[in-house]
Amino acid sequence: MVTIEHVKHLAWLSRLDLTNDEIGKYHTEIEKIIEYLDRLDSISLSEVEPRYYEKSVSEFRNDIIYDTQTELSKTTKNLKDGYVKGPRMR
Amino acid sequence: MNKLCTLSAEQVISGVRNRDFTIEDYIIQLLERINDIDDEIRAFITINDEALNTARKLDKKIKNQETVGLLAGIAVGIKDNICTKDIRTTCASRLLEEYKPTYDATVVRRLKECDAIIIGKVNLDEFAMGSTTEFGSYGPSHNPWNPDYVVGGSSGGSAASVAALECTVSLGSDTGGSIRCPASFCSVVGLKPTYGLVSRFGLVSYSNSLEQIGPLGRTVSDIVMIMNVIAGFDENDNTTDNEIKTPRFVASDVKRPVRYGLIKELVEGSDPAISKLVYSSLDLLSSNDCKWEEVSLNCDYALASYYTIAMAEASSNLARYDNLRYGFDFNPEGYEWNSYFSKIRNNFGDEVKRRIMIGSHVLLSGYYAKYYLKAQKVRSILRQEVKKLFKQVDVLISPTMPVLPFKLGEDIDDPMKRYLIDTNTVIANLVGTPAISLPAGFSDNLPIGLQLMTDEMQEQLLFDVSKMYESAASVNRKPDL
Repeated sequence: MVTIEHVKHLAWLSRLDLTNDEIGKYHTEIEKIIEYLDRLDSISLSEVEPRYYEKSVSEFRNDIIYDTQTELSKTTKNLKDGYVKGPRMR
Repeated sequence: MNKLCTLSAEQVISGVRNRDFTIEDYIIQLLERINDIDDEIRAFITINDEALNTARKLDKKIKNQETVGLLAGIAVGIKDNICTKDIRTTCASRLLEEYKPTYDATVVRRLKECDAIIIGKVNLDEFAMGSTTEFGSYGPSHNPWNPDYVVGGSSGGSAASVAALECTVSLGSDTGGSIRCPASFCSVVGLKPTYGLVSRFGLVSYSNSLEQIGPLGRTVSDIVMIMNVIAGFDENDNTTDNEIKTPRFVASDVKRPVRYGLIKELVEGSDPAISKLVYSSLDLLSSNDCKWEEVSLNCDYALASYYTIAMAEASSNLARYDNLRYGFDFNPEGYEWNSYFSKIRNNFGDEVKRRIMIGSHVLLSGYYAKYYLKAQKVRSILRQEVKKLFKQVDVLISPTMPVLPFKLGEDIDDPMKRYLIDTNTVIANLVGTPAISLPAGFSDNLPIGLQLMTDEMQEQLLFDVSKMYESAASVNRKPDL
């Protein structure tokens, strides 16, 4: 069972500022989806190795320095003295 | 209708070569077409202002007998989650509405190097999350066969623009069917290549272990032509196969003996009109040398595995959108970090928020073994099962979609119901194999697609079989627009 409190916790973890109405709406939808995903828990797969992609990398690219600063500053609005300005940390 | 819009890429290239028309004529006709019908279809987010200039430059080069690239003049629509230098790349999201990349994705760079023309950026579900192209900040695209119906998704603009003759070919991205679903719903050809065959550098990340960029077009030959340009090793994407530098696929009419396997479970779960058409497609493919048989694949847990992996990866990929380095105008002055970040991220759409939150859920500490590890194990079993089937048959067949295109807005409040329509397509993403959707016919003027799948890196076989089916089925209707 997924509780309203749990959805609020998920919203916090996801850094989403949701109203109570929104929490209510997402609660109904998310509960149904999580119930569906829970079917994974009903199968026993202790003998099975998980699947990850294995790729051997035989070539590394050269370590070339590019000037990304100039290019990136074109797309950034809140710049101060060459730094990106952000909100204060607590 | 402007007749140059109806041509395939192959026909445009030969028309230009024979001086039947100029690239400028062709691009003008496409731009007029977009101008005339895109208010209704809404496939495009941005039109490339430079398209016509590029066309004129290419015409000049041809006139001066200078060499031009393999795709000289071909108009390509690019899904708006693939970076294009100096052209806005929005991902149909408020958070990137003003984002102009400072570089081209590798696929875009390669298209440009072959003198293809980027005609514009096309619509999608926000950050490619959806199966209908209704969940973007620019509103839904409309199906060219019936504007009241969905185009499929998430590469809905890529499919609709090609079907509506607004461009000749397009690029999409496919995480769980996002190229094949709209290809099926719009009656065009759409390919999800083998994982690692096409570079993902410059594709805005959604679910890295599942997604691939691929082409959409009106003919199999056009798909082959685009693949020869975009596929191959890229030093900027470590998951590309370094054995394959430049592939040389051919679009030939060779008839080869093929063993087909019809995936029983996926046909049984489909709308009766669709399964009926799949059986008649098998008749078309069968001959003395080509036999089909029913095969069984347990897909019961595939969708749950897919959504667990996709949402977990999405949740961590989308954590980067803080609106500081790029984004809409919002001054962070006076905000504390967490409140600023949460406020900004509220500009994600509903579907993206849902997926981020469910991703947070499956990644909760203590839940790893319950969801993510299980999902990866299901993926492992599915891969073994599919590999086993490819010892028995060469090509796996199923309907691309288990349902016909439905009306815009239908069941939009029931996301789980919407997720279920991805059942047939997610398999290729979980396993890594290539899969193509081919136009198979219509039911009440709504398109039906046939999905063919081969083993990893067996694209050539997939193209040969697709050509055989294309000429046997000859579905070459054009929408009435």
